[in-house]
Amino acid sequence: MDNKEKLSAFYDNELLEDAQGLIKAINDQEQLASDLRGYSLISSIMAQSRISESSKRSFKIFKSSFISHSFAAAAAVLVTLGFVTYFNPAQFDLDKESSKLLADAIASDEGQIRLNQEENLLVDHLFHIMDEKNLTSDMNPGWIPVGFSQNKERPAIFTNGTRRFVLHVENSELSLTKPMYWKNGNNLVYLYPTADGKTITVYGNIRPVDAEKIIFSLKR
Amino acid sequence: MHNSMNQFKDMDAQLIDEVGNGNEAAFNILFSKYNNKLYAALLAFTKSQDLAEDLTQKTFIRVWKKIETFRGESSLFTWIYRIAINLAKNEFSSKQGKNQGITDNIDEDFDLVSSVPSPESHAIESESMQAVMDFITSLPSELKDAISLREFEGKSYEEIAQITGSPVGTVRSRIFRAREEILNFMKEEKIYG
Repeated sequence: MDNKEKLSAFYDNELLEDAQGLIKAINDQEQLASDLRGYSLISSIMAQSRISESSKRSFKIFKSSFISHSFAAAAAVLVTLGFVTYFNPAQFDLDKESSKLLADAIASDEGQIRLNQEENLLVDHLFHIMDEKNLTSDMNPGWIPVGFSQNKERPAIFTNGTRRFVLHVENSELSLTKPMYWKNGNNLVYLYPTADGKTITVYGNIRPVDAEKIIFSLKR
Repeated sequence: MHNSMNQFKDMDAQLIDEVGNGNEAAFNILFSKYNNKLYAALLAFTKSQDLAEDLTQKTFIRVWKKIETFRGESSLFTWIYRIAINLAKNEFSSKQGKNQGITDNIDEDFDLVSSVPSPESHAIESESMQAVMDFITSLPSELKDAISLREFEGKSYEEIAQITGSPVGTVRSRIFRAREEILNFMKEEKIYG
């Protein structure tokens, strides 16, 4: 294995020998140093390409969701999760009030959360649930908050007239290993992974402690 | 996998030791190895090329100053990445008038700032990036698969060997050949070098 191939393995932290000699060679030989920078550049280009594709994908999801749902609902999910950094309100031809809502969201702390692959799946999952035609769950929790009742036509939806939440379970690409939740204002997203690879989702105007109680009442 | 991780720590440990001893050449190698990767991560975080560049420089200044605090509890890049994200969060807080005083006078290090080079990836136009990606797509499948599993999935050589059913040595060679091909293309197209 010559120094150039060693350099590639070194770059990947996979060099199976003492790197000291190679480090000295990099210092002494500009070509090796240049190649190392080149490898780093290739990584960067490939990473940025992936990020770009990922953003385009989420943007597409957001846009299609926006078409079929209210702006406020879509924005609420995004703000709750913090996925607002790459949205340009101008692209949606929104009215002034809606544009301001999104602009405020982008300026918020939550808006600065980084989008990564796992979060992308999360957005995908939630937008899937926001589309009510996908809410095919018919679960009967042993406990729900006082005053709430189950919608007869859409059993996944619970409401007390003013507040509303969704309880949904299905197979999911999310690789959660423990329950997670996000809360922003009155909006909660609570995800609970089951032992058989499904994800229970509680989304809406509900307290985390109540979401937990509902889920645990399902487990009985 | 386990052996690879040990080698990984050993190799970066040598760099860290040298940097800790004030070896600027070792720092340049560390910078060359990680700067573009960090820049890409920061670009994803900030969505701003200028801010990502600024934070990349500040991060490596912090790395230079704080390398002795690295205890090897995570990978070196994870440690560097955490520094960068903390700086980025601080930057956001500062912009919102809520500076929490996390930074430690980095802006005073003007000389060091000027000596840290900018990531090359800034200078690359999106068209050129697309050309590189198109070229990677056109590579022979064994090279394309190997470099993709490494760069996109972060798989180790041993994991790639298992996935592709090839010896680890073959995987190492394919990844090297893919990089050579891509670098040659970038030089021919005057994208790099």
